[in-house]
Amino acid sequence: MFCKIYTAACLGIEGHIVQVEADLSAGLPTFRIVGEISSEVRESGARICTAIRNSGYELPPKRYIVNLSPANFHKSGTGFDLPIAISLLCCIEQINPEHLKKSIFIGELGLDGRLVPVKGILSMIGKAVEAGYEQCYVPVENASEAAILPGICVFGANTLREIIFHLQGKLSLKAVQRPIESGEKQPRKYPLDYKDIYGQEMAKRCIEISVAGGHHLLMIGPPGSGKTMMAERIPYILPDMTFEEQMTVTKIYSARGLLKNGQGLMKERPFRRPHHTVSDKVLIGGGALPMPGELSMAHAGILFLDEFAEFSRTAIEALRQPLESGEVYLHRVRGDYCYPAKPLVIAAMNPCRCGYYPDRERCRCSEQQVQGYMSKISGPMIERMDLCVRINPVNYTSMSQMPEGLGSAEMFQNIIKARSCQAKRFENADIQLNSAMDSAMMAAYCALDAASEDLLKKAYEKYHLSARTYQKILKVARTICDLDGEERIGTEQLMEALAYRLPESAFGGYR
Amino acid sequence: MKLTERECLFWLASKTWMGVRSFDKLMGYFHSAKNIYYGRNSNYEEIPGLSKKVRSHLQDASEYSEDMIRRDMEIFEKQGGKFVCRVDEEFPERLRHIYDVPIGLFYYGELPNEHRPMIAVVGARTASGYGLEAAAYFSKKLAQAGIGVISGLARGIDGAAHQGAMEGAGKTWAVLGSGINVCYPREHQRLYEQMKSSGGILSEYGWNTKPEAWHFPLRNRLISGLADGIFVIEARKKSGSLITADLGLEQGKNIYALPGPFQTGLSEGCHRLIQTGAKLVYRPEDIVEDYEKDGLAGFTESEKIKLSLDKREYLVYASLSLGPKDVDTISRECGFSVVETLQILMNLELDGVIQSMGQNLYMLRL
Repeated sequence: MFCKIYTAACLGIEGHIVQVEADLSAGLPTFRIVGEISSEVRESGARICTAIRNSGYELPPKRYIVNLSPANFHKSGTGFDLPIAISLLCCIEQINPEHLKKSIFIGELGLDGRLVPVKGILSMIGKAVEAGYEQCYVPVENASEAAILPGICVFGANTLREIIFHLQGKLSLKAVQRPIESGEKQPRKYPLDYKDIYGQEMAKRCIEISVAGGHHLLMIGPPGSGKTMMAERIPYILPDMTFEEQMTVTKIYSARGLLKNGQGLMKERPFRRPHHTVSDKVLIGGGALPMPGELSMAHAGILFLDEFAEFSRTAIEALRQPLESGEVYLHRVRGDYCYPAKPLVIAAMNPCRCGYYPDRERCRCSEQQVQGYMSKISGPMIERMDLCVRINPVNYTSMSQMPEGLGSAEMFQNIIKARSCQAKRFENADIQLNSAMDSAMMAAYCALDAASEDLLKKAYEKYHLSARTYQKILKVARTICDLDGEERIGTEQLMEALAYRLPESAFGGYR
Repeated sequence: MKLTERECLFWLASKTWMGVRSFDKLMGYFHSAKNIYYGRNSNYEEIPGLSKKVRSHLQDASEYSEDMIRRDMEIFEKQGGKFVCRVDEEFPERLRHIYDVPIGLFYYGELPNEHRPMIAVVGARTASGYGLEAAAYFSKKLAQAGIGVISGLARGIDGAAHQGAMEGAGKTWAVLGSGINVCYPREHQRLYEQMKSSGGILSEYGWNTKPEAWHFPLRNRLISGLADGIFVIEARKKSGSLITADLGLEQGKNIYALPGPFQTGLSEGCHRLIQTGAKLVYRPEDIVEDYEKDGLAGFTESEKIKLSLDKREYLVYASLSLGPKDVDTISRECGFSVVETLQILMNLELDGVIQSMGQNLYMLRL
């Protein structure tokens, strides 16, 4: 007796449909699973047979062959337990496979027949919807994740027995409802507010620009000056994610198994702050079967690199190419993996080893040491940072006298305004933010008048700018215009953008 | 052929084990360097106080031969090095009168002119923007007035002084604590090369001698010795520059000091010097006027930069100093928004009247 059941596998964040073919024949009793499988799938035989027995069914001692097809890619993970069990039950004619041609089964089994949640559900269901499947059976913990997408009926079950009874018609599982979007929006809350930070107006402005246009930001300042405070407040002023972004982020987190049980779509932009001792593999992703790294986990959100200069050189350098292309490619023997990686990078570092340069009262580092410290970050990496701002320590007396500055609510409003300008501009393009403009778009949207042209030429020569910095300055100026509600880039915006670049003199030796 | 007196002096001056004191003791007994070389098997017991180390080096015949000494000197001269010793007429007159006259001087470039006034500009290695800017500014002005600037090629004030003097198209000399072919610190390589043609590099240490810590206090006596006045900028409480000033005082030189902001300890040494009688210098004329009688062409009144700043720019300009100041503070003091302040600052920087120290800190430019 032969039968076929459908399931899905997840490679990276790509779902693939897999057919589970089971055959039962006379002969010496054996149980084999074939089809380019990993060790956890090979082991699953023992789990499945026991689970079936503990669910009240007996597999007669015959010859069982299970094939996972197509056999051309490596199948790993534990989600095949349930479909294999169902296919075996079809073989012994406990379930009628006739009605299962449009059904997908995913789930791991415990020995007692209980269903255990698996990773990467969203990617797999996404593929199943695309391929036209109509029902899917998943562990109850994965059900709300599976129910994100319309067009498929999701059944969440606690045990194998529930699914068997459902398929036999003895019991009817309830299809999981898609969560309905409530029309009214929750008012935005600011648990951490920029209002609490006094006297850092320049840094706040910089963060506003950075978030509005997606420009990577480097903060330099002495210890205790509030770099981390600044960064921690960013998540609350980020605009909401689009549905596509939410899908991608959820898929990535699902592939890593980081979604909480019962969690559906991720609504909040991720904020990742890896420790500075991380390896390049952790940062960009790695492993024999590559998992997404911190860079991808921060996709569409913030990657905060505190103590930037203390990161290992290889880790920092590994960021270079993905930051440029917005994707991480990981090549392995068993295939190439590609993860999206478009975070906004916020880096923070001290100006020198002791942290107080150029305050000569406290800093005794030689110019050479300052240079040495700064040069831990390579030129190409520095060039990828679009904005640079100094965070100054604020002393107590001035703090109490200072007027209250820009707050998060106001910053958020400005950012929304600038983002909607950009949305209009890039309506027909495949980018959303100014930072992603290519040279053709820059020619169209960053045109300069004669006075600005002169100014930029003067600055180009005086500061020995590179072609890349030149472009960055224009893009930042574009975002400043969007924030100010200006149509064209003028000298004022250009001047401001120039002030945020990282000058050579930051590397010591300003004389 | 026997070695000449000069060759023998070259040999002795090159050796790190030969100090000035031991040399003087030997000279007291042998009366000439030639005799020291050819009388090596004498009974050194008769020379009181001569150290064992020097004695054993002198007696070790394998260490040098006539040919080796001639060859060393030849190599040295081929590399552009020059040597002047006590017996030479060109030996700087100023150095003949100091305590512990060096055996000889190795140098690149030229020796300081005997008639040109010389000022030693010395100060902290880790100096603030204020100190560096002042060192460069004063050195430039001194150089323009025809005064030679001498210093030690160290990081910080020394380097800025040499740089400033060259900007003023003047002559500047560095006295090293290493051999003249060893540039220390390495980052001053370019400065070092430039100085060979606009002044000189001097040292009492031989070819390839490494910069040892104990060389530096000794070379300070040459810096003060070669100068007519010592100008101290940004010396902390226990600064090496104060040693130079003390040596200068013993040698009867003028001492000048630049005052600094009172709250910081960076200029504490300078302030102490002023209290104990050093001349307070707050403009280049304060130094130049002391040397005008020495045939100096007089000092052209420092030309005021004609600034055409509008009112807003002037406000921002006036709030800056020679120390780093951040944009937020400037904007608060002037009452402009951060964005406005940034625009004004960029404008001023592009005009070259102020400079950025990186990281959005700004200071004046002299």
